[in-house]
Amino acid sequence: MISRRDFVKWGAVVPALGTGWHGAFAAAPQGLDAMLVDTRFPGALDVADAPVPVLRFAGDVTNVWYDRLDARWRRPGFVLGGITGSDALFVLETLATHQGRRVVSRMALDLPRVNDVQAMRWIIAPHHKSVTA
Amino acid sequence: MSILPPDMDESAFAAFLNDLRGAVGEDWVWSSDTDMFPYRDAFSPVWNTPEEIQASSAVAPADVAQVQEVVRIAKRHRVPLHPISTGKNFGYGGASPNVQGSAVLDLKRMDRVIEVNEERNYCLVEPGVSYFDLYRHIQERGLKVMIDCPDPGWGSPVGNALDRGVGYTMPQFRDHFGAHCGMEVVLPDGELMRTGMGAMPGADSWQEYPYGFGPDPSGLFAQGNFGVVTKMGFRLMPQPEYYRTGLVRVPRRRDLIKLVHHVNYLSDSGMVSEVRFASPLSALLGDPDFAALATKLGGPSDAEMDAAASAAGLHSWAIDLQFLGPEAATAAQWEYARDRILSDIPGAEALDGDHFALPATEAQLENDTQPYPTAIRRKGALGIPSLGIWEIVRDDGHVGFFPVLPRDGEAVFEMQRVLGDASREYPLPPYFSAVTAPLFWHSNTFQMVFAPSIRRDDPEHNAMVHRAMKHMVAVAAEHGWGDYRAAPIYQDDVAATYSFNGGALRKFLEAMKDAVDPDGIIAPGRGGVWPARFRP
Amino acid sequence: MKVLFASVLLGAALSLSVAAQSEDPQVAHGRQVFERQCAPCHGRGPGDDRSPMLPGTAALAEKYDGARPAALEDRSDLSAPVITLFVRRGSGAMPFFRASELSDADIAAIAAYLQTSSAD
Repeated sequence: MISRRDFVKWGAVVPALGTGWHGAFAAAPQGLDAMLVDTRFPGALDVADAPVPVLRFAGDVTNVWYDRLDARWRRPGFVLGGITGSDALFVLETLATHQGRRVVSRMALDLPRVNDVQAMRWIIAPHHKSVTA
Repeated sequence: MSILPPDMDESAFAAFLNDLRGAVGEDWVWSSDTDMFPYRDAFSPVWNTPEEIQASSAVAPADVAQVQEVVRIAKRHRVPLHPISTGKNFGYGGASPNVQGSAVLDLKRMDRVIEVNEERNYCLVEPGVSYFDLYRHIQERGLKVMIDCPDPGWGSPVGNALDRGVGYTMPQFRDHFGAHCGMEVVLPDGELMRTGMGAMPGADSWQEYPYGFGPDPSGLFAQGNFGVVTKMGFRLMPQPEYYRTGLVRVPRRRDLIKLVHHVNYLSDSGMVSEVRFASPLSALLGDPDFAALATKLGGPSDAEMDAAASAAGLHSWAIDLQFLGPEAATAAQWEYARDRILSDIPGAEALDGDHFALPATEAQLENDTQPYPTAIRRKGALGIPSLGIWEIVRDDGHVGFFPVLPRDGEAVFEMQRVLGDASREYPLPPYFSAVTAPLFWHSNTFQMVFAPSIRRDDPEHNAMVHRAMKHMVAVAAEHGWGDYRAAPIYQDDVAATYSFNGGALRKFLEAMKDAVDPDGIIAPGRGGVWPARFRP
Repeated sequence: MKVLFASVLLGAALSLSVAAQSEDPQVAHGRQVFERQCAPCHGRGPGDDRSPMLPGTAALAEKYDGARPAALEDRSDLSAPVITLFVRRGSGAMPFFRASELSDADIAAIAAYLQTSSAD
């Protein structure tokens, strides 16, 4: 269940993320606790000055989940935004579901496909009451 | 005095035998006292007492169709059948059944080696095939595979695996049931079933993929009574090129803990074949003072044992290691094992043992050039069946209790102490003392041995052994140590110790038993599983 | 499969041919049964792992203490009825053998073989 307060918070974030790299980060995504960036997509390395911690990976999301997200997702809170391939998002969405979280926003980006993978921007937020802040 | 099947009179029994003769022929049905004598348990501690369970008759079918017919006849007459393969199983009940008056279903005549495949490393055999038969079949054809034998080679790979017997080579082969792959079973209604890929018509992978699809019932036929196994496949090790041995000795009593950890690592990594733990201090048991110390109530202290070892100039523990594989690989594995243990345990020392290319020569099989005392039997280690082990049989045989314990040095010390104390009241050799080493027969666990001898003409001695067996099973269970295999006269005692949650396991098995064998004709009571008809 | 079967027959024939030329069929059968069923315990060879004798031979050596040969193949006094008694009833550590694994005809053949083997 998403609380009304959470919904407002994320609602403010979603429009701030544009459909390209620079749009996304220039808008200083208020309310996000971290961003996840898939470096397979051109331009990903440009987002050096993001206002929130940025986690990077290249296609295989296993390590970043195993080393960082799994532990963080066991505690309440933590809204994660991402610009990743649709394949990585599928994996993250499955893992997030097991930890009481949901994809609350997703949109295809106008970026060139890499190995036929579509770039997506998305937000994964706490959903089950055991992890909502 | 003839023995009758349960709930049956002489004339009904005669009609049953007559039907059996019709199925298998006059020559292959027996019921006279003379003919039935060899179906008794030669190693029975309850010989000639009311507790001895004897069969009424025996029938030996020649093929699967005859087995099916015998099962249908037994069902019609409601006579319990007790299937045996070669019917050896000495120390675990021999050919004797769980129910007085059962008919032994003797599968010895079904002795075909159906296939040995040296490219894909498996065999498929019938129950009457012995380890000698299988070995001979392989040798006569020069096939490049090695079998894994239990102690006496006259037993059956099928029968031994179905009683969860063990051997002496690499971990994935010496658990004989674990190494099986695919079964054919005659069910209690006479239907024929195959497990795994054998259930798929036309599949050529029966001995390669044991599961097929869906639940795999093969475990129900080991120490069980859900059907009569008529064919069984086994995985075989490709004939290794080279055999190498080495010994590591460690000085102090508590070094066993680290030593076990290292051996666990080596074994579970597939680097060693069977290993043999021993205590060089066993040599001192002839000294009454040392024997008193090693069997002291509550166990001796580590310091007392270390002092005794030091005074005798002996190490506390030794481990015999064996390696099978290419020559260079065995050399590297031995070097690694030695360095691993010596660098971790101060005072440990290593001795190079015999090593040679396989197959071994007759001289190498004689095992008389090993530069240190060893308990390893060379033929067993190399998958060669033998009856040489029979030299250990004392009196008229023995019964065996082999409690399973964790593969951990502390657990070894605890079992030495607890079962040592528990067995003190019996006038028997000390099976458990401070120098008793664990057996590493099964691939992933330790066992110890309690195997008192029996004497057919000494009922008092046998009664003491019988009491001791039951007592040891009960005391071990209080500590979570259970038997792995038992004679019919002990199967209820042992099964009762596997009692988690009000005996949920037994209830589940008996519910299935009632469903698939409503007349309770296949080995009622085997494994402690009783059909409704025989439940109290 | 046919090739395999033929080669098995050929192998069996070759291994028997030397003995079989002058041996009567019952003796030849007895030799084979003895080798398979008796010799692993009662043979003349050494036992495993430095034991001087096989277990059955060792037990008889102890029992007779030189009064009779320990190896059965050196005995000329073992008739079929005597062998039957030991085979079917066992003796000490020696267990029993059933008709399904060793028939009366097999035992008679063993007796015939032992008559010739003890004369060698």
